[in-house]
Formats: sequence, C-alpha cells, structure tokens
Amino acid sequence: MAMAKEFHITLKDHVFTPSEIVIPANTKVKLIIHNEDDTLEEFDSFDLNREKVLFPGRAGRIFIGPLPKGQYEYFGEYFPNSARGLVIVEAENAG
Amino acid sequence: MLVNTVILFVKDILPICVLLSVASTVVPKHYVGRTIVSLLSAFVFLCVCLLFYFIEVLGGLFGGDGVEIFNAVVTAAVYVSLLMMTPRLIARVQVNFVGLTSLAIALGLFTAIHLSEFLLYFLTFLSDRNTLVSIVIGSFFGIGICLSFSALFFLFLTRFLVFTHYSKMIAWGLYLASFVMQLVTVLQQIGQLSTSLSLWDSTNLVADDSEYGYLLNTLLGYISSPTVEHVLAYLLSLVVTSVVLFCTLRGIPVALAPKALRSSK
Repeated sequence: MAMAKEFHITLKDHVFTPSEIVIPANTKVKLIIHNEDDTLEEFDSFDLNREKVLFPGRAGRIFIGPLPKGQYEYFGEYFPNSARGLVIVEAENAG
Repeated sequence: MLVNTVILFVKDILPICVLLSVASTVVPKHYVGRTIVSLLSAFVFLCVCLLFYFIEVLGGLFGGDGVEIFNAVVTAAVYVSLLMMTPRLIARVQVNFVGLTSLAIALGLFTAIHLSEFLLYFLTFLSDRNTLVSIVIGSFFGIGICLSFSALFFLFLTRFLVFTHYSKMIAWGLYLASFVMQLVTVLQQIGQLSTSLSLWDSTNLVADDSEYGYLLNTLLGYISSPTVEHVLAYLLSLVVTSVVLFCTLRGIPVALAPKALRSSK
C-alpha cells in the first residue's frame, strides 16, 4: 500500500494553524494534528465525517479522502468559535 | 457553550438512551431484575472511571489510534450481541446466558465510552467559572431532550411497532446497520479500510450537523455523503439481519408466528 501523503495542522491557543490546508483531489492523505494547548480538544468535521480526541501536548492522526474538489470545514468541538479551519481539495499538484 | 453542551448531549448521551430503549424491548423483563441493573450500573461506573483516567494512555496505543480501535471493538460487540437477540424480536425464543451476558457487557462498554468522552468535555469546562452557568443550563436542556426522546422512542417501540410485524423487522435491521456504518467510518478514519469517493451528497436534504442529521445517524446510521464501503456494509448488514430473521421464522411453524409474536409481548 502506498504511503499516504502527510499534512500537519497545529492547535495553539484554541486556533488551528494553518487554518486552510490544500490537499490533492481523489487522493487519500494523512492529517496529523498537533495539540499544543494544555487542554483537550476534539477535531470534528461533518464534511469529512471525522472526529478525533486531541490530548494536550500530543498529536493525533486521521486519514481523509479521496475527496472531490471542494472545501471541507472542520472545527474544534470544545472551542468551535476560535478553532475552525478548511481543507481545500484542489485538482492537481496541490499541497 | 450552551448550544455546544446541548449538541454534545445529543451526540454522546442520546445514542446511549436509544440503545437502552431498544435493548429493553428485546430482553425479557424477568431477566432485568434489580440485581442485574445494579451489577450493570456498577460495571458501567467502573468502566467510566477506568476510561476517564486512562483514556490518554489508551489514545496513545496502536500509533495513536487506541481510542478508535477500542471504539470499533465495542461497536462490533454491540452489533453482534444485538444480532444474537434478533430471534427474540419475532418469536418467544429462550435467551441463553452467553447472549445476555455479552449484550450486558457490550451495552456497558458502549455506555462507558460515550459517557467518558462526554465527561472529558463536561469536567474541562465545569471548573471554569465563566462557562459554568452555560454548562449547567445546557445540561438541563440536554438531559431533557435525551430523556423525553428516549421515553417517546420507547413508547413507539413497545406500543406501535409491536403491532406491525414487518415494520418492526425493518426498523431493527436499519438500527443494527447503523452500528456497521459507525464501524466503517472509524476504520476508514484510522486507515484500516479503503475509502472510495462519496456515492451521493444529500446534505441539502438532511445535513449531518442538523438535529435531524444527529437523530437519523443514531437511529438509522444516516450519513449525508456515504462512500461505497458504507453502502456495501449497510446492505450486507441488512442481508445478515434478514437471514437471521428468516431462519428464526423457518424454525417455528409459520402458522404459529403471529401467535408467537403476540405471546412475546
């Protein structure tokens, strides 16, 4: 099985950075989310159909895709007002 | 924070209430004595405590997928144990000790994992004075929604569905399939199951993050944009449930089936 390309997101002060990541269309990728806060958070996305508890000071990984072109919202379930972001799926040479 | 608390109640606590309502309709009443309820409550309490304190350790296992793998195992256990109770749906079949015990353990673990995830959120904010009022008010709303819905749902299951033979079987099949959908999603998330493109997108009809979306997901395993794997697993689950129901019906004289139905109430 081919290794899925990795994309990293960091959670700091209840904000995801970068707030937008671009991934290639129709490709399975691995999203690694680093929680640098000292509180729990839960990565949640209805668009991506994913949810993952992020423990303080740890990284969590989830696989997403293959996805068609478009924008997919995600948010932190505990701090949904500040912890928000977008996964943008583009056709070719993304990332 | 208030809305968030209510949403988390609907997401984490409502599935427990629905599962307990469903289980209580198929488990014979004389099996559910005070001792069994006390033992099950103690088991859930112990599991919640263990999970709450060790969830971070669990989360670190299997390359960080420990919680998801545990969730997948529990979901599969609930599915299998409910499937084992399927004959009870249409006939007065004796429930064996293994079936009842496995259902009790699966119910306990399912309740514990949902409760402990909710407690993580609840206790994170309960200690914060700024959010305390919102959390408490949200909890009242959340408890109200979960209890009133599960009461209505229980009445629906015991008073309405019991009279309609086929609707009961269809509802049971769809509810069982909802666990398979959860299982597929978890396995796809940790990369243990292939993921294809979505077959359709019915977000405009019922969005996953809407009230109906949550409810339909809990009751029927609704996902607005399912993959091929989701649909295949769903259909396979319906076939398996149908086969179990068919075998049960074949095992008793067809003419007696309606009588068996009436006597199983």
